[in-house]
Amino acid sequence: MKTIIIGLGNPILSDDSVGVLIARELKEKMDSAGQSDVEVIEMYAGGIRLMDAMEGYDRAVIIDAMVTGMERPGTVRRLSLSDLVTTRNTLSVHDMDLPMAMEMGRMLGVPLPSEVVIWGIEAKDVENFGEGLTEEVAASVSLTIELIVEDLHFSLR
Amino acid sequence: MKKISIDPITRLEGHGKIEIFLNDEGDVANTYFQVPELRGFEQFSVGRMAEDMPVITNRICGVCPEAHHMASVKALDMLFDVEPPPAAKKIRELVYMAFYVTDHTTHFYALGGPDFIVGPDAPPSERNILGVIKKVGLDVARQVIDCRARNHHVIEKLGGRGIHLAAGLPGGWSKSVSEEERKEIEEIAKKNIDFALFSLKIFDDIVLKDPVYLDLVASDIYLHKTYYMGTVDEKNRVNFYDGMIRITDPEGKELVKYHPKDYATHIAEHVESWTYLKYPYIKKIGWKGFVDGMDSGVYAASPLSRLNVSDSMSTPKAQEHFERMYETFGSRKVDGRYQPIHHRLATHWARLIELLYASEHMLELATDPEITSPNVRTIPGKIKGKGIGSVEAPRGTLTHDYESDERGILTKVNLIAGTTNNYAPMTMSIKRAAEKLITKGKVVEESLLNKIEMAFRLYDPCLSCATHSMPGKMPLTVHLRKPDGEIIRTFKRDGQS
Repeated sequence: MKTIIIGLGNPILSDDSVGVLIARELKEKMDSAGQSDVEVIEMYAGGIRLMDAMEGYDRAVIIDAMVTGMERPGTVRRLSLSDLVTTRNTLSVHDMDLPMAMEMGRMLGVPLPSEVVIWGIEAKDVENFGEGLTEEVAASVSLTIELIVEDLHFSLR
Repeated sequence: MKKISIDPITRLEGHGKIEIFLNDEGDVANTYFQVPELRGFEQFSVGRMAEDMPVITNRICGVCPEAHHMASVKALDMLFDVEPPPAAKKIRELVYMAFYVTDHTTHFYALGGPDFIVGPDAPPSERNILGVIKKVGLDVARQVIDCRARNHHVIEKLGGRGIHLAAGLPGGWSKSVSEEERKEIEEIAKKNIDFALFSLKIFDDIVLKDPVYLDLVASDIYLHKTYYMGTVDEKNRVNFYDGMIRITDPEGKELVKYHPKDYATHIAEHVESWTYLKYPYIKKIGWKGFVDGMDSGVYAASPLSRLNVSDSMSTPKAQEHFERMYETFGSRKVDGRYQPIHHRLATHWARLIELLYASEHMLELATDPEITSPNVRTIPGKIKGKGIGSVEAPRGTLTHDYESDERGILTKVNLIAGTTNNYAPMTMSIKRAAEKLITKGKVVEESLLNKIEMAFRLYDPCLSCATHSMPGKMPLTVHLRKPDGEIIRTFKRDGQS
């Protein structure tokens, strides 16, 4: 199954970078495990560009920060496109949210994944520029990677 | 005082909360638009090498990284006291035109256009690109996607990276353009011109030929007689990449024209206690509040503003449409120049004219014999220590201001993002919409929300440069409150809650 893993977020905006940092670690694991049918990329663009990135894949995994205000920072949630809770960067300020971009893509005949999983990590600080994560969010990185790997049924050891 | 709260704005990320305060008679007393601002960019940047800024600042925002990249490399040209070779300037401008084409296209079809193409009073669940597709056909969506894809391809080819450019350097550009690339870009630019003309035709057929929409565009709902700002070339024509900043008054007369490095002499920022936002205004005129007129220093910087401050467009087809727009609004020529259009909904039309200009200018640059010159870099020799660079971002004049020590390590950074220029006029347009639709406590519910959104969207604000953002789509809610703040009624939109 051709899979794309997308780490979303702003790499210099504190906890907003968590998706990108997780993707970097996942990429190392995938490379060393020789997972050739898995592509891992980093992005800081939602909406149409995010939809474009998924073209031609059977499965997409998106990792992104979220701010629901209802969870403790560092909480990890596995979401689908139909969930009402969304993460921070799947929506583009300048065009549309991801479900709408996907619907438009399908109308246009773009081959898009039948399975899209979004991993949301509750962020604490998304208002201050900085390259590090807050303690609570940093603590959830390893767990999230384990959850994603398990979910994908990869054996990386 | 009653308070109506609308939070958040659909189709706009960013914690944009709008508060409408009513007076004792039930009429609108004031409106406030609040955005918590991102913090710490200056601290983040100070202590870094100045030459890293073009790749750092384009991470501020996922929407217009190209604009930040260009303003940043121009600031570095000055900081390192170096003049890029002509070919480098032209390549930068060529990349920038490709960016403008994608950006303005997306705004018209995905954000601004639905209000007109689907209808200002259509349900919000239909006022989006899918509604546009239903109304004008799938082929249009295909053209929009193709247009974005071919111009992103140009940006990636010449910029070194798809979204966050990496090719800009102090003194030039890191990569020259091959003849093969030039030919490909020439064809892309021609397609862009056809697409821009096609988009103007859609605007013509759907908006201008419909008396209801034309009345709306020409109505006084968002009419503000403010000052305008934009960058102009040596013949006072619209220029996105380089030139002088021109400010014209509400009657269209030039107030001042200055080099972007002198921005602090002419522009000041007003601070309000209820928001982190700072409201830029014209120093010479002064801050008189959120009001228009000759005595108020409020100005706008938008596609319409850029056209308002310019004598003409530098490309022939854009010039034809420029003239047509001003004549449609009954604008007369004074001293050889059209009087400004103050109807803010005309910004959508101006944006399409700019789309055409960007496409035509892209073709000019792609067919310029110098564009394939291998001489794309002047190596900097010394560090001046102060650099200010400015471009016209799609959303307004963008300024980067850096100071460094003698080693090129940054000691001070200040940015004025394009959207920032329009905070005051946006607040005024929101108030105007609210005033029209709230009288003696009676609220025209659905129209109120739509018209406030339209007020907002015409400025194409990008809040992510400056704001914390909300998690995706949230319900659009209005609270009607008693004078003591107690909620007496809550309205929610169908399909949104």
